[in-house]
This record gives sequence, C-alpha cells and structure tokens, in this order.
Amino acid sequence: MRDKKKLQKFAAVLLTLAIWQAAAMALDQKLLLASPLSVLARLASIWQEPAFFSSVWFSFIRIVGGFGLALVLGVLLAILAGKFPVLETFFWPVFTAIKSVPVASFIIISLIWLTSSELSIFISFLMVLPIVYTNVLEGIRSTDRKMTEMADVFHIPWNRRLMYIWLPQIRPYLISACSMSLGLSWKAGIAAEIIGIPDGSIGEMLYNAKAYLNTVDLFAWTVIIVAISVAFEKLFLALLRYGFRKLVRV
Amino acid sequence: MKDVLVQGLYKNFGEKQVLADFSAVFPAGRVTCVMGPSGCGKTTLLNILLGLERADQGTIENLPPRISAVFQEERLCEDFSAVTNVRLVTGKVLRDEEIVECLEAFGLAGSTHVPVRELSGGMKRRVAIARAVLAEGELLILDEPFKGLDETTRKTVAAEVKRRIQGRTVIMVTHDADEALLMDAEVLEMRTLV
Repeated sequence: MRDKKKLQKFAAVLLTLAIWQAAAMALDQKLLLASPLSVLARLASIWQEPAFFSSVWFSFIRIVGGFGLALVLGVLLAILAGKFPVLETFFWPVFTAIKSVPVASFIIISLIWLTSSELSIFISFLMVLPIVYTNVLEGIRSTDRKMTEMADVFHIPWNRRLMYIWLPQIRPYLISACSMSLGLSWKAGIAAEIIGIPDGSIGEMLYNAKAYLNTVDLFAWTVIIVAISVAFEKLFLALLRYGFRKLVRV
Repeated sequence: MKDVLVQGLYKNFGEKQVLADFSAVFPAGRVTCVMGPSGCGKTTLLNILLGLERADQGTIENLPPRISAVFQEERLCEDFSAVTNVRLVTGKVLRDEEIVECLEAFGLAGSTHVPVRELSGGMKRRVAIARAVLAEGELLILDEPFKGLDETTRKTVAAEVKRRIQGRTVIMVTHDADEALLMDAEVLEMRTLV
C-alpha cells in the first residue's frame, strides 16, 4: 500500500516534469520558460562555480540561525505565558501584528535598522517566532490538569515534571510548529535577501539571474533552495524526534 | 503522627452544597473507610485533604506535609513504564529493584518495563496503588483504590497494601463494605445533604 502510494507520487512528479518540458518546447523561448532538462544541465555545472558554496553557506547559516533563535525564544515565551497568563495578553498585540503584517513590509521596514546581511536572520526569526510560540503555548494549555494535580500532591520537582509530564504533551505541538515554520523560514529569508541583496548570498544570485534575464539560473537556484530547505527540514525533524526519544525514555 | 482532625467543613459548588458542618477524626496509624452514597461529598472531602479544593469554611488539623494518594483515575504517565511512573514520585530514594519487587508483589511481574498505555485497566490501577504505597507520606488517601479489580486480585492487592502501609494513616473512600473488612478499617458513614 505504501509502495503503491510512493509509486503514484513518483509518477505524478514525472508527469509534472513532462508537462513542464512539453510547455517549454512548445513555447520555445528560453527567456520565458526554461526547460527542466536545461535546468538539470545547469545544476550539474552551477555547484562548480567558485561562489556556489559560500553563497549557500551565507544564506543557510543566517536563515537557520534565525529559525534557531525563534525556536528557543518561542518556547521560552510560551512557557512564561503558560505560567503567567497575563503575559499572553501582553504578547498578544505583538504576535498578532507579526502574523498579519505582510513579510515584504517587514523586510523594507527592517532595512532601515539593519544591514542587508543581517536581514535574513531577522526576517526568518520573525516569521518563525509566532508559529513556535502559538503551538507550544497550545501544547502547554492542553496539559492534563489532573496530571498537574498529581504532580502537586506528590511534590514532584519541576525537572521531573518537565521530562515526564510536560515534554510528552508538548512534543507533537513542537514538532508540528517546526514542520510548519522550517519551509516558511527559507521562503521569508530568501525573500529578504532578494530585497536587501546582501553580497554573496543566494538572494543575490537570484536577483542577478533575474536582472540579466538568465531564466535557467533563476530556475536552477530555485531548485537548489527547495532542495536545501526540504533536506534541512527532514534532517531537523528526524533529529528532533530522535532527541525526544533519547530524552524521554520508557 | 497525630490524629487528623476535621472540624466544621463546608463546601459549596455554586448553589449545590456538598459538605455542611462536616467533622471527623481520622486516627493516626489506622485505616478509616469513608462510605456513603454517590454525591455525598466523599471525593470532595479527599480533594480538600489533598489540597486540590479549598473548603469554604472549617479547619483541618495535623495534616502532614507530605501526602500520598490513589486518585479516582490512575493519573499515570502513559508513555512511561510502571517503574518510571513510580520513580517519578519517589526520586532516587528507592532502587529500581525495590520498585520492581513491589510492582511484582501487586501481580505486575513481566509488565514493569513496558509503557503503561499497553497495560489493562486493572494493571494500571495496581501501578497507581504501588506508586501510592511507595511514595513518601505519613497520610495515604485512597479514592476507590480497588475499582476495576476482580475479586481474587482485590483480596491479594488489599493484603499487600495492608502489609506495606503499617503505621501510616489511611483515609479510603469505597462503596463496598467488603473492602473495609479487607482493610480492617474503621468505617465513617457520610450522608447526602438534603
């Protein structure tokens, strides 16, 4: 059953690529639509360029850094808001604003205060923070009151409560928050780089490809971003699940 | 440990009065069975003793700082084993072998290291009982501890509980007079308020 599903997905990818190839051939204008084969050929050579790895590293470290900071701060703020409900009300306007203001507005506003190379850290941080905060707070709120009472009666210290009562409850919410926000951090971070154009970033590569009407490069870099984002998401979620398993033993 | 003295306890939930001028003495080192019809305030009384509810009026004297309990529900961490659930409340005071020995005495041999969610209802109940008897606390509060156990298991478990709680004050809620006999308990009858 699972193999059949995988096969169907693989067939769907092949079909999409075939439609893309057919459309590119029918249009026959490389400038408007690069074919998957030309993108594939470009991918085979793009990584050999001297600036490739430094650009990928530049963007990766900043976007992942922003994500990591938001993860830590989001969990801490959610714990505080869970413990002191008045803080939830206090944080409410900030998080509502972050969730509703368009990311492009934030990028442009942030450019007033930050240098372009700092921009992607801040933007990816800003996009991830409310997701982590909201999800973890919901996890804390869903903690069974009866279990908390049990812990109070038996005078269970906070470190054991964290390990055995809270973490197992928060785990699915945290994993879901990371799963939702990892892709978003890459989308927002790269958008920030395209607007801020910091030297030696993936955003600069994309911007240059667009400026010089190099559609094949534009598609190739997009594929690279998607590949890094998906690979990092899978790796991070696998590590997170492994970490939880190690931490919370039967 | 002195007798636990409850005097003039009142408790209302909205319009509904559950306890009115309830007084009782729970003798130190003895088992007292609180019996009475459903809704007469037995669990509310236990919750007040456990500090989970606040009485509207009245006093409780000589309540020890640490109390152990079997709640109406098991209140176990389902992802963890019976041993871990007990360790959660005992800390490092007991060795694993001591915890396993106690769990086995309650008929849980072979089930001590599997996640509690994989155990049957009766087995979970016994884990909750083992946790309560192994936890620190001069006072034990047991809310229908043998609920869901068959006749034979109930007798075995009651005998084991009795053996392990000697010298501690026990307040136990039950609907079954036989359970009071099994525990050699004094009986305190509560009545529904009209």
